[in-house]
Amino acid sequence: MELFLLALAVIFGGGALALLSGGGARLTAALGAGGAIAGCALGLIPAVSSLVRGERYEWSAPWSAPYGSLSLAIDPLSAVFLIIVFGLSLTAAVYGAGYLAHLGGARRLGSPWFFFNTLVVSMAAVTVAQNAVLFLVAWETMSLASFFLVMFDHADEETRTAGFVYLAATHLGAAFLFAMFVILAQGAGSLEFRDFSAPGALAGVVFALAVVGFGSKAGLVPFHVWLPVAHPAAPSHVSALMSGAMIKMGVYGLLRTMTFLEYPQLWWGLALIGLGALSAVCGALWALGQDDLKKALAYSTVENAGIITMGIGLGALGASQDAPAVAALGFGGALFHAFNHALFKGLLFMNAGAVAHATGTRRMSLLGGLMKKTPLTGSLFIFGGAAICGLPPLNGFISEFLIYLAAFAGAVDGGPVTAGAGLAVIVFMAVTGTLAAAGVARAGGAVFLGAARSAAVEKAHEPGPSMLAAMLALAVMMTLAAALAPAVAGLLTAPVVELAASDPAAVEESVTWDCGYAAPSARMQYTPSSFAQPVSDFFHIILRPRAALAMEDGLFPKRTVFSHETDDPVESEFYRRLFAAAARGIGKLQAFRAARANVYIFYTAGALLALLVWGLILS
Amino acid sequence: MGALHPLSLVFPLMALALSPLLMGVINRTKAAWAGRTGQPLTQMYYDLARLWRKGAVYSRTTTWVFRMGPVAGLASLLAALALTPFGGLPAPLFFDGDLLVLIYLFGAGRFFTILAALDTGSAFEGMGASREAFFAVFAEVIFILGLAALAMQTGSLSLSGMLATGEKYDFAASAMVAAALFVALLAENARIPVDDPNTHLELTMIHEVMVLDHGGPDLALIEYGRALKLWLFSSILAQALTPLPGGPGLAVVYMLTMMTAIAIAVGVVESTMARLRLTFVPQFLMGAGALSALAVILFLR
Amino acid sequence: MADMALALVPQLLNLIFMALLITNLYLLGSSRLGSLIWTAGAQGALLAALPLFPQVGEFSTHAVILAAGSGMLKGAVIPWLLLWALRDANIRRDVEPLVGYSLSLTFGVAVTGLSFWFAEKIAGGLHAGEGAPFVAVGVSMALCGMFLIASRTKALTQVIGYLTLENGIYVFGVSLAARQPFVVEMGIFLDIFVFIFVGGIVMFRINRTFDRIEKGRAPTEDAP
Repeated sequence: MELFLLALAVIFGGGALALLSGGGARLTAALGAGGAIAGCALGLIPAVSSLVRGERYEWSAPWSAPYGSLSLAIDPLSAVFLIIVFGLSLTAAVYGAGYLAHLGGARRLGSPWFFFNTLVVSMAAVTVAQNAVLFLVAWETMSLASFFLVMFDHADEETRTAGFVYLAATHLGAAFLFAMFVILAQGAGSLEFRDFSAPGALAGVVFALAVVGFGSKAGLVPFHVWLPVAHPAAPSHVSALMSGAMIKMGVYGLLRTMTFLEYPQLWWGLALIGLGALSAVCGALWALGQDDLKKALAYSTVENAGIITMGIGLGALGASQDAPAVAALGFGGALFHAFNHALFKGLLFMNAGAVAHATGTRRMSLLGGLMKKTPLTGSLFIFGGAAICGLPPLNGFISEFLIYLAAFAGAVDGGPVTAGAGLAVIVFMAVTGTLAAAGVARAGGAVFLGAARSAAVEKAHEPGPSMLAAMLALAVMMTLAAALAPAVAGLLTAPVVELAASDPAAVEESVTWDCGYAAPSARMQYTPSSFAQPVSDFFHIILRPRAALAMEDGLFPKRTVFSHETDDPVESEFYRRLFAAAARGIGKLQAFRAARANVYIFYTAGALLALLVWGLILS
Repeated sequence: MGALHPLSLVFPLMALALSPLLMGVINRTKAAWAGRTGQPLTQMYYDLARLWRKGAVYSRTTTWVFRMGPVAGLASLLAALALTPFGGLPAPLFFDGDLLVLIYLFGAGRFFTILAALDTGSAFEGMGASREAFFAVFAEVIFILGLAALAMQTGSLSLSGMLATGEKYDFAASAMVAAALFVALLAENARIPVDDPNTHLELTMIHEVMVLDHGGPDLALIEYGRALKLWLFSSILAQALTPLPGGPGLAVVYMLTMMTAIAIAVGVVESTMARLRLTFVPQFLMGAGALSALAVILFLR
Repeated sequence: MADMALALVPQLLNLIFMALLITNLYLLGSSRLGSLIWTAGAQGALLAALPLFPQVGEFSTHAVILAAGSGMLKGAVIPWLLLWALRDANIRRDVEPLVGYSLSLTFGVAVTGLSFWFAEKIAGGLHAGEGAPFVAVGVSMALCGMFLIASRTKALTQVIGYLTLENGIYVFGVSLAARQPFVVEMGIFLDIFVFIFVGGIVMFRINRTFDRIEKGRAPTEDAP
């Protein structure tokens, strides 16, 4: 445990020194990234040992905050998430050192490194906190640190909007957590996690509050709206960390809360499965509709959060229906998928950063043919992409396989409700899987394959060594994660190697055979939005495609403009209307607004007096 | 894993050797229906040999992804072959949930074929890739629900357990599963009414247009993979349709007869039906999906 | 031999249930009015066989008359009437749904699943368990019929929806037939409304929707 505290101190110290060092960019990066890398490597030791030995390490100290105490513990559940946090932060710091280097002259890099390291420390603190006050402080620090990182490009109008949407969403979510902890504390009479227990009928309320509060961090539909705006705005190593690790804090919180409440009820499992299925399918569909590569990846995070939640839901269902096989496979699959998703989503976001770095744009409809310019980046994208669609024998398949197996076990052996839920999961997993494959093929195809769609691609080059090293490290970890799982891995490779070795008689090169047309151009290529068109038309209820074609009359063809966009109806309709209604209601309070400070003092005094009177009446 | 019957290892070799014949049966059926004699049953072997000897032409737009497409497609099918039981005996490799591996192996093959098509930068191939990706959503749901119904019927989570032993049997539900699986076979193997393997209009093709740029040995791999995929699907369907007669010898003869019958049925469908308009394909596949969902609901009790 | 035939009876009954559910889904997924009418007819003919099964009650003259009567009515007379209306009122042959076919099918499957669950819950009170599939199939047909009425614009499609709804009530009623014989007769009685609807369609030449009846005059074919 002391090793763990030392690790946190090293990370935070590195960040603080980076902030204070007024010196050159190189020193700042060395301090910030170096602290993060060394600290994360140190921190992995206790986490792995707790998981492997199944032990629980504790540490506590008094704290002056009311009801607070600095009690920490690493148990196997925390350890899984600690490994995600430290493992991904380590690679993200390596990547970030290279990614931020080109900004060296233009920007001072002290504060980005400070907030990056603070984010890592706060996430680690969230996973080990054993006291509600400490947990909430860590949680808020995590939200604020990531907010400042999202605001990195604060000169950009869009980034500022993204930052404030994120800030509002994360605080609304936190409000539900405050309420949840208050209810738990009332039952327990203390704010220590070990005293919390299920207060009978209130268990359902606590669970519902946890789902909203943690679900908004995990990016479940309909609480996901901040995610697709905040992720693209942040620098890529931060997007990787937010999407790979910070999202998982929501998953962790949900699981940790379920340990306070002893017996999961049937409807919890069903509710989680429903929310998970909605998030998975909608996320996969919305990812298909995006033109911004990082936005598409952000929606893919929504999808994967949905898959993880379906796994947790099956676990809860199995536990409530006394089906241990379903419970074990469901929870196990969810945890393994959380780990795998950290690896491949980290890799893909870093890849997107490399693409943006190389070409200056993230718009897929302007890219294409990058594979020839940046073969390593491209190959890594396809590797990560194949894993995220759950293709065997990569690691994504294995965790999805466990969740599927939980569903099948429920369908075959369970009662009607378990079986029905299991079948629903099977159907939604299948739909999600194929849609995700379509989305990855679309993104990979549009960015890396075919012919270049604009001049941006011409000057593209591979990223620097540290960025490549980070991506390769993630790919190696993915391979290891897959190789540790049984059977299938060897099966595919042998025939591939054998067949790939057989050379054709003679190889010629030519233009693409476009059905006899010998001069195909990049403008004739299928675009990302045309690739998605059948899907977006079929699922128009969820995707809301909008196409505009400006045709001019006349005998001869003129220049025409065609545009195609898709909407996220949760954002564009549900929340706009909700907030518009809220603004109208709150507008009525404007009458109490005053220009003078003493009026506000009067209000405050009045409120205190009223509280006092109320308190006296109650007692 | 239980003890492995030596014949289990012979069956995949048999599939490798005999699968092109199944395509020959379909062609002969269509020819007979049209009043022609048609190609010899073994025509596909000659075609494959001819393609294998040819050279390959690669577009300058393409990269390694394009060259890997056919290889990855065939490799995934070879792996799938090792999971599929035949003739009343378990497959060489079986474990709980191997049906998911089978389905996702098909998905992997599809994914790399789509990427290879996108790598050419051709408008036509992009179009085919887009449609393939879309229709896969439905085809996979039909297939997985059909297999789920079989799993619920037999209580087994492995293909070998649910197909090689046909103890519990309900005619009506099995008929529905079989009908749904037949539609999945038509959709996954690019047959009418979902796709037309013989069309010459690129705008209406799905699978065929994706492989326009492949030639020589690559095309041979793709064509052979197609024959193998048809073999896999029809052998699964033949085992799902009715319980197999006892004894491996009788079971093999019975299965080969059933698979020939399925190939003839595909040929008859192809001769009597028109290809559906593309906008109606999802509706048609949803109908088949509803069938397998109904079968599953009936086993829920 | 007789034993084997007896063993086949439950299989046969299952087959009929399955066929009923399939016709149900077909009604939701089909886009042509003609095939909609044929399917409704096939559904009626299948229904008619139900009173003959031992699960329903003793084999009696009453059951035979019931089967023959409802078979004639639902399987032949009503489809013929609907086809006649289709020709006579000059109705365009496509369905014109408010809700797409794919969504309708999804609804159909979901409702079928729900009605099986529902049947499981209430079957204890009916016929000691044997009635459960009757309830499930009946409820799912009735709900799909209501969905057809609500989600299709044409008057003729709504009549077919009504027919399906009523067929559902018939199936539901058949399982009670042994104790409450009138339920089934009531179901057949409801068919009279179909005659009235179709008569209305033909007389007023309603080739689109019902809502024009209130205007008190026959709408012309090309009225907006």
